[in-house]
Amino acid sequence: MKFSYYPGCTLHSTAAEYDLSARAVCKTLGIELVDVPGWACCGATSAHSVNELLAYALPAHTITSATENAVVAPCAACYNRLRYTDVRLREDAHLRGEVESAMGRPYRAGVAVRHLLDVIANDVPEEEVKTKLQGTLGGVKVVCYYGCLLTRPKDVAAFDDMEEPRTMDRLMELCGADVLDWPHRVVCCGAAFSLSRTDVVYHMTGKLIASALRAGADAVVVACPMCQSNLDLRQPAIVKRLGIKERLPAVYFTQLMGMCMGYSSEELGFKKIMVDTSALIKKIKTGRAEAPAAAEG
Amino acid sequence: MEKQLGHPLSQCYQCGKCSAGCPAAYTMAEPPNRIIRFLQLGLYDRALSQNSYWVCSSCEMCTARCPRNVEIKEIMEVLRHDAFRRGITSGEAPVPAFHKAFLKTVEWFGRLYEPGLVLLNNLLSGRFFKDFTAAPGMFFKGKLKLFPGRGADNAAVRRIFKYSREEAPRGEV
Repeated sequence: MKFSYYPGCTLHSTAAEYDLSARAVCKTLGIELVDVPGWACCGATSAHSVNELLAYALPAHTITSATENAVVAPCAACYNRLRYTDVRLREDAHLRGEVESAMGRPYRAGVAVRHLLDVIANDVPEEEVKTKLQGTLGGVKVVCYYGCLLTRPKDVAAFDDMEEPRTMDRLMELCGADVLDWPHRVVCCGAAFSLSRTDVVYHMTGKLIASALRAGADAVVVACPMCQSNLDLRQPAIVKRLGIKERLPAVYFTQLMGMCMGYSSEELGFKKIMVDTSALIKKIKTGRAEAPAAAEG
Repeated sequence: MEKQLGHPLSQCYQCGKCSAGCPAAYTMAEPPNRIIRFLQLGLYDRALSQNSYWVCSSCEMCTARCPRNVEIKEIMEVLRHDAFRRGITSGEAPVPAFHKAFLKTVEWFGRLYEPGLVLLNNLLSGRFFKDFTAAPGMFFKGKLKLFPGRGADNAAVRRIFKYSREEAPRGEV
């Protein structure tokens, strides 16, 4: 399996651990990733907030630059912008013409835009994933957080249910986590307000953290660097506002999968997470050691 | 009004489901269903004078759950584009200032450059030392780069920005 890989800006900076773990897991699963040459920022929320043409032309540049027939994006926001662009440019010839004028070259239609979660969960058969697992997550309690852009809108992001997605839950169960139910799996974290209306992020992400802790989670599993950044970087201020002492690591699904594939926590960038993850890693290792004993008993 | 917005409005029967599911409604002067109502009544300027479209996080919960298929998020976006172009901030000046700072850094470097974004954002929004305390921790975790990354096709990006900017009245960046 060979894909064009569009890491997106954050995987080269604030979400470096997502990049490390995504590449590691893909390598083990036999998914070859080829970086899109000259890829640019997708424009994110800012471009589509202020300039429609810019919001389609920036992702179109990256799609057109892809060398393979499918491009995989690990960031939910990039994924959403690229999918949106592809859907709109295929149905609106006038818009496509304008985007092509902006780019100065024809748009390369027919490149499939996929999210990394979709590729790992749906292109690799479950049985094959199982053969690559050397250890389990030891029954550690997790909630899976999908956020908004991974599943919405349904005619754009079409690989899972937009109200009750299960793709990540399924993968985490496969890895031996105790996946808990919680009501906030698709509720927005506040995303792009991190720098402008930080109080909105405190409010929205605060609800997520409180809900995950109420469910009894040891960690919240994510597939988006924006979600992770709001849950992790803004957590000290949030828990202070909520008046709670607990901490909740926000980890990427690829980091937890990598833990089961023989990679060390260093190789998977666990130390790059702002909230201390040592208790979580210890819990996974203890759970793993106890599991055979429990099965015998 | 529907023609002006480019999106149909008349099928909305004001059930309020969009506002019930909106995570940002708590901080909106008027919730999404009321914005749609204003527009149905032709009160465009009244809709534009609310902060609602600026604090909308574009999460699409409203559009996803609308039983009448009203493209609420898209309509919020039309308002945002117009407000941005006309310099209307509706009391939320830091939000458009952030978008401006974000896109400037992308135009300059082809990709996001966080330290540059934070500095420019603080400069444009007049809050000079916001978020400075987080920087050292992020730097030592290897999450912040001192210099912008290389590798983006800068010429292509600048061309796209130039063309998009000249395509008024879609918006200015």
